[in-house]
Amino acid sequence: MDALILGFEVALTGTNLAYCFLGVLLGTAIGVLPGIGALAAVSMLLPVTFYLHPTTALILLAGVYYGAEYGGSTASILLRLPGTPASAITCLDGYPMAKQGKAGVALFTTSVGSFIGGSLGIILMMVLTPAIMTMSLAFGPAEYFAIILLGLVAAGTATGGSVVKGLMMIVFGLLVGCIGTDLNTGVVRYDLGFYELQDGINMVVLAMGLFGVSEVIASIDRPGGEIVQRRISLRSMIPSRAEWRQAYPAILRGSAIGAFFGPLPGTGPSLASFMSYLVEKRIARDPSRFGKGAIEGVASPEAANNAAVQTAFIPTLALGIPGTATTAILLGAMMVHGIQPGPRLVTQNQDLFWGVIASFWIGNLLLLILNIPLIGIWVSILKIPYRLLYPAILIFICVGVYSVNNNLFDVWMVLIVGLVGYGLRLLEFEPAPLLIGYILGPLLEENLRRGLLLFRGDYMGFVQRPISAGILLLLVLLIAYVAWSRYRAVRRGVSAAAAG
Amino acid sequence: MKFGLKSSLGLIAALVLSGSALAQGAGDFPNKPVTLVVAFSPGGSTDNLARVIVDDFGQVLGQPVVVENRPGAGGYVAWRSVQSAPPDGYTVLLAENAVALGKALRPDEPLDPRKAFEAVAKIGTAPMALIINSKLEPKTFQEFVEFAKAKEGGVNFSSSGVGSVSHMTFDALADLIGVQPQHIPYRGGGEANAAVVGGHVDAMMQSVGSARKLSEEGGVRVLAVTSEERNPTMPDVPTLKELGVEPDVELRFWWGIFVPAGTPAPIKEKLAAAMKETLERPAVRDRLANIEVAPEFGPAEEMAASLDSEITNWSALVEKRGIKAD
Amino acid sequence: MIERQSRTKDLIGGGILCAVGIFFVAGAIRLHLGTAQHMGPGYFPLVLGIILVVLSAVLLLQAGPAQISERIAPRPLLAVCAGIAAFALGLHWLGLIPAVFLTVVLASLGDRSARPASAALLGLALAVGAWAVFRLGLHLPMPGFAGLLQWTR
Repeated sequence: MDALILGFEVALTGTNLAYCFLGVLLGTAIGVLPGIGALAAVSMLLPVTFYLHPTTALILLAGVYYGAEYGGSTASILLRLPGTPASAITCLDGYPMAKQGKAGVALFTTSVGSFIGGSLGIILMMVLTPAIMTMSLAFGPAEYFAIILLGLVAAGTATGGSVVKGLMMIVFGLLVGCIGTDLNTGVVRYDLGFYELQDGINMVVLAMGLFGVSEVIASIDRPGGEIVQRRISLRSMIPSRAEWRQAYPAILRGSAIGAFFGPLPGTGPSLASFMSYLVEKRIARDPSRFGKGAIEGVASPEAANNAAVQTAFIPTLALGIPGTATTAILLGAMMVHGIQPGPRLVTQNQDLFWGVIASFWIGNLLLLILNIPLIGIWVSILKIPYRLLYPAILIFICVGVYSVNNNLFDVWMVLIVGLVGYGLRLLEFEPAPLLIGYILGPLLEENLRRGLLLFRGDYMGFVQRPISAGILLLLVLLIAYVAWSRYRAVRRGVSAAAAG
Repeated sequence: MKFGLKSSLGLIAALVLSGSALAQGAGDFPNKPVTLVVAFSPGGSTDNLARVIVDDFGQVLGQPVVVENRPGAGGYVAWRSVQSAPPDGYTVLLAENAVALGKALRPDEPLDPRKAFEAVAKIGTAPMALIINSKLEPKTFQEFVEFAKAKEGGVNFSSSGVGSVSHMTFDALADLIGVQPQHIPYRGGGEANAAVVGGHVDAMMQSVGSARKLSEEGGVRVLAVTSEERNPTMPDVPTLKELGVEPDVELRFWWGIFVPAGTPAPIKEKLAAAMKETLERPAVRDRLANIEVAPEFGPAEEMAASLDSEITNWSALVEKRGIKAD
Repeated sequence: MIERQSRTKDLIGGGILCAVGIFFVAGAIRLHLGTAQHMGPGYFPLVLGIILVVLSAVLLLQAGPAQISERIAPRPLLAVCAGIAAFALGLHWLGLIPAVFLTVVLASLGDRSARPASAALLGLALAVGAWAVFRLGLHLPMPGFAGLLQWTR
């Protein structure tokens, strides 16, 4: 507690506050340009920060980072242009909401959800940092394998429509994830002779192609496909009482899920937002609303993502494991300033660690204050006729994917992925499970193989460790539950059919 | 057809540009921003190094220097792009061990760094250390050798990826002490460190700076360092040389700058001189120390010779150990 | 009629993904498979490919009538493809500004109601805007003019 007060003292000095504001402002502005986002901004600012105090430098860079994360959800809600896995989830229901004229409500919920999620994440960090550190270290290959498998099966059984089609998309995603250099042997798989494919298909390319390009193609001459937007008043942005009643428990659940998954290095935030979405869908009275603009589907993943981003800083700062490319640069910035990430950072550099943590919270608050007035401006983008808007969207997509690796191959790739996405759309396959499979596939494989190397080929090794055994038990229970509820639904359907 | 047209136009462009560069010598070089190509993603150690020197390097040169990350295919995306860039000094490669290891691991790869690039200068190095999980029995290097030989199924070690410096150096060391280790590759040094600290794997080769930090926190034990002399921050840890282990290959990280083959000598000299001056700046040296890079300027001939011997020696080791990356 | 068509949809979907599965299996068996302890690079995709083929077979068998929601839209499809391709080619050969212009004009043709003049105007506006934001603002490595127009850099 004292530590946090110290942190606020550090974060609330005039300079740090100003840089925090500058960071989130810059981050939001850049984040709405999908794909380019935080990475370009943070790496460009890095040399500038050499001339700042280390804490101030980190506050600035972190501000850009989560400002960009925040801005990213704006683009995915308004235009279905996700730049991160988490925002791909947000657009599942956020974009339909925008099409129903509720873009303001969706963005407002996002702001509030992110803020609450972030705040709860910070509180948990305060209380549980040592425990979370122990947990990150205790997670070996077996535990990762188990929890990723749980996430995949949960995703496959909870997607809209047919379970078979959902599972097919997951497996397709896992296979797409196999493209590229095999981590364990260095052998290149499925590159079809393109050396650009040796690192696999880029995440941004896949998300933008599956979601963005296919949406543009489908929207151009859909009659009435233009996004309807009524006059924007503050009232039209604030969720109605009924919507709020659905949103706030979802925000709390999302925050809890996010805080739990966050510390798993590499997988945290994306797994968190997938899982929270799936949980909402599972416990909703009417799961069919999801994918058509369910407010919980926006509120919960956003809260989860932000809670996870916060708790993910524990492995980043305490173990030096970057969760994303952007946090890798943050780590680099710390090292340049002579701050070595490590468990001691938390205890020895208390003013820095907690100052940065406190500035996260202040940054989240600033984002909230900054963005609520901006919602009106963002939403007014949708007033632009689609025929003028979509060429600009295509430019964003092209520049966004090019800037990831500065490689034109990725522009060609987004075209191909867009065609695949459009085909899947016509055949009514969901793109989200494909993306989940693609993101978690390589992690599933490498942990499986690492585990079997260490257990000398004995699959029992996965069940002999208590944590992984517990997760696998949960998995079995989930499958049993799904099978049981299917069985009941089928029986009810049969009796209903017999009655009718 | 398309490629023919593309490459022939590229050739013409290259000829025109190199011709003009030749005509000018280094006269007004540089008169536009210089691109410093990094073969790995932002946040990696080479990228960190680039960002640390780029501002000062630009100041010395009198033109901004822009870092361009071209990650992919273990570095080959960047290397190919530098190879085909006009040899006018405006495209500079910031290279590291990967250039030599890449050639050693992929002998069939047509790109030969010794022919495609010309060395400009050596920038710096970072020595390495052997670390093991602190809960393991061995307290000294000799005990570790015994332990590794006795362990059923072989001692296992983490690395930041197949063909990475941490992988290859451990294999080189294992070869010298006569053990057959089990390689467990991870994604990046951070994850590999955590695997040793968490006790999921036994050992790894890591930079001295990281090793010291991890040992101070009690998670690992440092058994040896690869530098010529003991590290002043860890005076109790012996060098491999003292332990009688002398590898043919240099077990350490190194960085240097290269330009496409055919770049006029005056331009290379100008770049090298600017780099020398950059590395002498106290602010740069401080920042380099923080990211664990020892600034160590070396002229072009030294860099070229060391690249040549690295490729030869690593190739020999790769063949002997049957390490494969493709 | 509608029922027949949507049954076709699941049949096509199942067929295509079955082919995808076979493609990955075929690629996997050419890689080293390895053992459970030392899994080769082919092991994991082989298992997954087989699972995908099995799932596709299930889909083909249970393909049933359902409502069709969307039909292929050839004009937008072509225009978007042409637009992205123009960007990929244009950025290398001409530079950012002409590439954006071409992309916008080509993509605009996807909308039946678009007029060439307004498309050109939009293209010009976005080209300048993109150059200002991405090149001047963010310093992304995309020169305004490049390749064949390089001398104007």
